[in-house]
Amino acid sequence: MSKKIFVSIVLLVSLVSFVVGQDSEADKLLLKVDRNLNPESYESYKKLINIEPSGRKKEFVLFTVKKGKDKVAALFISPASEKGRSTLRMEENMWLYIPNIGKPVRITSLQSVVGGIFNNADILRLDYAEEYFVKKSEEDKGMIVLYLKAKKKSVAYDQLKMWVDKKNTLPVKIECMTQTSMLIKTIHYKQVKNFGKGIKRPSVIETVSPLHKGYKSVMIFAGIKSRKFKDEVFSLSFMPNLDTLR
Amino acid sequence: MSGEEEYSFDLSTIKKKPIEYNGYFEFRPTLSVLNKDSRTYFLSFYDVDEGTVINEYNFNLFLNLTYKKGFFSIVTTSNLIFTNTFSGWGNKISFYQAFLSLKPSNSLSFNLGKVRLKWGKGYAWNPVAFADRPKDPNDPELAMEGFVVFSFDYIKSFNGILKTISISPVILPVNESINTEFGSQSKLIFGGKIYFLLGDTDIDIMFLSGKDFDDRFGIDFSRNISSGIEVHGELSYISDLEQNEKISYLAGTRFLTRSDITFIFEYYKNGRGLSSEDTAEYYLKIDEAYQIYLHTGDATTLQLLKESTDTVFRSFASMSDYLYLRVSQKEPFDILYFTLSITSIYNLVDHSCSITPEIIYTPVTNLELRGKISFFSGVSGSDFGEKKNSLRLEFRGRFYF
Repeated sequence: MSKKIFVSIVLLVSLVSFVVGQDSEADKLLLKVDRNLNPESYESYKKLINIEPSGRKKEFVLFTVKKGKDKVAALFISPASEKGRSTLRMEENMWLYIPNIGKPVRITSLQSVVGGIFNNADILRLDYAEEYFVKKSEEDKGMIVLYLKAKKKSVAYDQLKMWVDKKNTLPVKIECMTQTSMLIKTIHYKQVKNFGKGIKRPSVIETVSPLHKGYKSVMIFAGIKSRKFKDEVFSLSFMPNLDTLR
Repeated sequence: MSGEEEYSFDLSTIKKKPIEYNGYFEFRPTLSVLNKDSRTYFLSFYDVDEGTVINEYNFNLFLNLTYKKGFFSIVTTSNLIFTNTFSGWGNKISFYQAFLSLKPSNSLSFNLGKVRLKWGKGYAWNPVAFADRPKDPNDPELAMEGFVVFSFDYIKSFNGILKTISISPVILPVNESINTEFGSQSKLIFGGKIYFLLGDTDIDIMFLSGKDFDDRFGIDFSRNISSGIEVHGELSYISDLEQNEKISYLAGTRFLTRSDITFIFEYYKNGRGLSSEDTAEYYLKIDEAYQIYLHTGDATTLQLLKESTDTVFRSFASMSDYLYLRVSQKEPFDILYFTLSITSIYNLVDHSCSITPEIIYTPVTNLELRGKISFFSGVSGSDFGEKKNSLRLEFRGRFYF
C-alpha cells in the first residue's frame, strides 16, 4: 500500500514538474517574442492605413514612445485633421488629448481613436507578457502555437492564439478572441526588416476582422530605436508636449 | 489588394520644422425657425421684422501657428470669422491663445500669455473650470478663448499607488482691459491645480482666490471601471455666496457597448442656477418692458434686459438642475468614418429640453462634414420653451490643412 502511495506521489510530482516546466518555457518564449518585437523602452514611427473594400484608404502617422512594461504614448503627426492629438496609456488607463479641447479625456481600450479595425489597445500595445499568461503551447507545422489568456478582465481581448516562428522567435499570426472564443480579429506580422542595433522584426502588421468583412487595417513601422525616457514623459501634463521628444 | 503587397513609409516626409501651422477652413450655414412667442425673441427682434425663418452663413479660418527653438516656443491660435445674416455682413478676429512657453525639462514648463487652462472632467459642463469661459454643451468640443495668465507646470512620477503628481500654479492679472470677466479693478488673482494619478484614478484639486473676488475651491475625479466604462465627477465651492448657492457639482459616466455605441450621461447641479420663480419674475419684466416699447416706443428697459440676458444665459445652464445624454455610434452599418449621434439636454426644474440629432462624415482625408438639427421643447416660461428658435438646422463643412 505504502509503495503504491509512494509511486503515485512520484508520478504526481513528475507531472507537476513537467507541466510547470513547460509553462515556464512557454512564458520565457513569450517574453522573448516581446523583446524581439521591440526594446523595452523605445521610440518609433507608425503609419496606420485603413483600407475599405473599394480600395479607398485613410492614413495616419504617429510618433510612439514606450517605457518599461506599462507606459506608452503616441502623437498624431498626420493627417492635418488629427495633428497634435496624443494618446497615453499607463497599465489599463488610457487618455486622449485633443488640442482644440485642450485637456486629456479618459478613453477605453475598446474604443478606436482612428476608426477601422485597430482599437486603442492595438495602437498603444503593451508587451504581450504584461497582459497575458501562457495557458498552453504546442507545435504546428514548424511553428510554436501559444494559447494566451488575459491576466485581467480589463484587457481588450480575453484570449490570443499566437503562431511563433521557431527560427527567429517572432510572431507570424495572432487570433484575438472573446471569453467565449469568438474570433474578433486576426493579426498577420509581415516583412521582417533589420532596423539596426539588433532590432530585427516584422515591419508590417495587417489586421482583418470577421466583424468588418472586406476591410483591412495595416500598421507600418519605421525608425524603431532604443531610447530611455523619464517617467514624467508619461503623464497627462506632458501630453500636449510630446512633440518636444521628436 | 494582394496579401503580399509591399508597403512603404518614408520618414523624410514628416521631418520636424521650426515653424509649423495647421488649422481649418469652415463653411457653416444655419437655418433657424423663430419662436415668435418667446421672450428672448422679443429682446432680439422687437424692432426688426425678419420673417419666421432666418438664415446665417459663417466662413471661418482657424489657425494654429507655432515657432519652436530648443526649449522655447511661441504658440498662437486665432480664429477669423465672416458672417452674413439678415442684417448684412460682419467679421471678427479672435486670438484664442497667444503665449510664450519655456520647457527647460520634461518635468517643468512655464507659460506666459493668453492660455486655455481647461480645468474639470465633465463633458458638457465644468463647475470647477474657474479660469475658463463656459462651454456650449451643444458643442463641447468647440475651441474657446483663453485668459491672460502666468502659469507653470511641475510633474513628478513615482512608483507606488501615487503614480503622478502635477502642480500647476497660475496668476491672472486683471485690469480695465485684461481678463475683465474677473472684474474691472486692477488686481492679481492667484490660483492653481494639483493633479494626482492615485491608483487608477485621476484627481484634481483646484482653487482661485484674490482681492475683491469670491474665493473658489474645487475637486474632480475620473477613472475607468472596466474596458468600456468611465466615471467622473466635479464639485465646486464658492465663498461669499448665499448658503444654497455655494456648491455646484456634476456626476457623469461614459460607456461603450460591444456594438460600439457610446453613451455619455451627466447630471449637473448648478448652485448659482435660477429657480422657476426667478425666471418667471425675469420674464414678467421682459413682458412689461415690451408693453412699454409698444405703447411709447421707448426701448431702454428692453435694451438693459437684453444685456443682462446675454450675461445670465451665456453660461448655457442658467437654471439649477440639468441632465445631459449623448448617444453616438461610430461607423453604423459598416460605413467607415461615419458617426451618428443624438444629444438631449433636459431641465429637471421646468421639464423643458433640447434634442439634437447629428451626423458626421469624413468622405476623404481632412474633409469633415457635419449636419445637425436642434429641436427646443417646453411650455411658455420654461428654459428651452423661451429660446428664440423653435428649431435650428446647421451644416458644417471643414477642410483641415
